Amino acid sequence: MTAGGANGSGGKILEVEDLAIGYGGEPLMEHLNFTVSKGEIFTILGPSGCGKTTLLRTLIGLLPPLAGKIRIAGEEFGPEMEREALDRLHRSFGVVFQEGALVSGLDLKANVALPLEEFTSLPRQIIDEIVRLKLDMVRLSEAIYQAPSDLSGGQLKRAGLARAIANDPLILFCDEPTSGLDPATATEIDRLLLVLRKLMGITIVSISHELASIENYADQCIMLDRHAGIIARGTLAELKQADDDRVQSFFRRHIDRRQEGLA
Amino acid sequence: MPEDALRVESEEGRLIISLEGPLDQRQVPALWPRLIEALGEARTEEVVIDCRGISGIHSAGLAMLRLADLECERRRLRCSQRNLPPQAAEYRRYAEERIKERREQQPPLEPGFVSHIGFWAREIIDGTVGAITFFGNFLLSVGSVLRRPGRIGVTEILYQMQKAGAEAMPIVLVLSALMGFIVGMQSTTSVANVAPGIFVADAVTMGTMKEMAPLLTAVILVGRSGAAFAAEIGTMQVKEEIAALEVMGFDPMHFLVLPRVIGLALAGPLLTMVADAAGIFGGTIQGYMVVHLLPLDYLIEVSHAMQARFLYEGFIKGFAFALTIGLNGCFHGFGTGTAAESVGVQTTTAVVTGIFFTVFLDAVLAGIFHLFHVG
Repeated sequence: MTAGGANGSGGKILEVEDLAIGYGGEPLMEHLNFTVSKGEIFTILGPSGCGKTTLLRTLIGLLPPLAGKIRIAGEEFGPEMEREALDRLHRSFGVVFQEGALVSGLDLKANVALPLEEFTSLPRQIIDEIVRLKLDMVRLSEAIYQAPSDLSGGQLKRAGLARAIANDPLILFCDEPTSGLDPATATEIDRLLLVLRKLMGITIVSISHELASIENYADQCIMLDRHAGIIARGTLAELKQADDDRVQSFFRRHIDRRQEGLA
Repeated sequence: MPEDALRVESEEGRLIISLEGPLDQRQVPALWPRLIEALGEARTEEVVIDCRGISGIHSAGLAMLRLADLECERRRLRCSQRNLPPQAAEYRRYAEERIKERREQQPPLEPGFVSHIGFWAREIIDGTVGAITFFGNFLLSVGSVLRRPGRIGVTEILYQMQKAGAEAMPIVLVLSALMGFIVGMQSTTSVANVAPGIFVADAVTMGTMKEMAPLLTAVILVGRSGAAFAAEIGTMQVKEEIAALEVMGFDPMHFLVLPRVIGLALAGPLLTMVADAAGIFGGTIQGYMVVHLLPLDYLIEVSHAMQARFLYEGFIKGFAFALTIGLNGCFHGFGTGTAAESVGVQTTTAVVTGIFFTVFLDAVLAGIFHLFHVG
């Protein structure tokens, strides 16, 4: 229903082939292979420091891949792309950063309107209506004229989400969308991600280690290990049944923490 | 946009507006004015927007349909939409629910002209009260240190003196020497017709020691130390380091401001003296190169022209300027909010106000020195 554009092969919107990621030419992980289907909520999970954020930064083009291919909607995505095609592809996805990453000199309304003003020729009235609609969706309408510095951590995340979906992206990349939030706000964001998928057909790629959130929304998951790359894939239920000790230890740690009231 | 993306026809006393194709960000900009035009030309009381032909709807399309509703309401037309694709209808229902929730709340007020005047006035009042409070706290802190001198961190003061004073020496030396050279050049032109060339040394000595050296040193201190204080303390404020110090029982005034301000206030007069010497050195070079005065003759004339009060004036000015610059820089650092950009704003303000206060204070001190003939 939402943003049109070419789909990848067999309804795959994101295809990662033999990808190597890392910093300064030093590979952190190699031979990563996975695909994400259109309309799916795909979660990359793993313990802290395993390379989730590095993978996400590579997928959104902030870090160049050291090897391999990334295809978004059938189009190969990488630093060697023509500037125009790269910009077009960048506009087709939204990113929710951990701290919201709003422009501090602009109020909330201007922040959410930013991609619409820059990348579309929509009339002012329509832009204002879209901004109100997106802020209504994240339940932040009352803060429309506030500066980012006046918002709490949870509000900043929701505001970042409103800006990321302002332009109806094909794919929404979320970097730990619920980390550090209280359970009520985290559940609200989980629910919102489900609504976005249902109503706008957005594909969501989220990195997280919040098991409660993953249980709420994930269709497919992969689990990363710093040394071995992808160590498990499938639905969350399938992952929980995996034989791999590292996967089991990840879930055990979370269950233990939950029982101790830490998570 | 294809011509048939919007068709208008009348049917049983109703105006039917049929939409075709995707209602996306590419289509909507062209469609919206045509839709408004069609509504404006409506000669019926009822308008139906038929969405049977649309192949997809984005937020832009949804916003357009909602605004079309509002436009009909404004024109007192009955408006309905039909054949909205199921997913779009659901999206619309969801949006309507959210809008209803929003309407139940107190609407936020968009800040207007009067609000801006209010914010501006409040900023001035808050700034003034803040400055007075800051200065009061500084004096209290100085008082507590005077009562118990052992509490002052000598090492920290020496460190600040090194950063603000010793590390600023190269730039002070170079700029002051150049300024002495320039003052010499200007004086040569002025003095040439009325007095022997050797009097250039008198002009350079007086101009440098009374005005140029203290002022130039102060401007360098504003740019180096005043800005650095504002940025350092501002960054600490953003990262909540100051809040952490406070809850641990540290007095930020004592811990952060006093060493910086005292260090700078001590470094200021010393740097001014260095600037005096460098300025006279620059003048000597100019005298040798342009007026062909021997350096020894030039320096003998300097010793005749030099008065103790020039030195005192420069010393007092150097101290007063450095004290003001230090306090001003720290005050703006503490004035930083929680946003990263406010560090930049406060640093810029610290530099601008620092230069203003320096020049203002210079004028005041010039008046005082003239009145009391100091020295």
